[in-house]
Amino acid sequence: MVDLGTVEADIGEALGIAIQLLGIAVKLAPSLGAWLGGLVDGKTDPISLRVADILPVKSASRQAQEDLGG
Amino acid sequence: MKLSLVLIAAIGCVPFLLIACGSTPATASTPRDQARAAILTIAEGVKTGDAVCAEAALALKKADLAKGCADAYDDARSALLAAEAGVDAWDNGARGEVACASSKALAAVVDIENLLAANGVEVPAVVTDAVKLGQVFLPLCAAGDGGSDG
Repeated sequence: MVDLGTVEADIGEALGIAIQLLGIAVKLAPSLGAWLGGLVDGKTDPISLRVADILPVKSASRQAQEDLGG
Repeated sequence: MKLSLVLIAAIGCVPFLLIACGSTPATASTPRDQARAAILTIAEGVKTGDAVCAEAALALKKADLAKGCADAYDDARSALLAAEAGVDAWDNGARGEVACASSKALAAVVDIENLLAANGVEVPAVVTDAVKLGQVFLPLCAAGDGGSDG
């Protein structure tokens, strides 16, 4: 005899895990794409961080200065 | 049902594992690698210093503090981009530019550090680390060299 309550709970649990994994995959998709793209291009270090990735053109301090009317 | 849970988890973990393996930092084994790593570390210091400065300026309502940090940030960013370009063109004789551009970035980070300290703001460790790291470029710039062969 199948316990429908248990089956529903298992399905719910599986869906919950799947949604969480999907969320992780969405977040990591750009990195994965960059890495795979780098592999296709034959780069030995496909994911290479650049200064411009760390430092945007407009700094937080400049924004703060503008917010303060300075 | 439990087997399906394991399968879903295993399939879902594949991209995560790929990312984890793919993004493992390579060992900085040559002067060129070390220079690039140092530049990025200094950039992280600038970013953190900028964020802390902006937060402090807003809290203290000091536009001059924000402006000082923003100007130093701009100087540091320009210098780090130049240093990075020098690393990119390392084999074309551009290595000498790396040390001097990094030294300029160092000066800007020191400005941020001093501005924070002068306003009673605790300087983040990543900023002081960036200053210490950046100091290795000073003698190289003075000597007109970006590092030994590599």
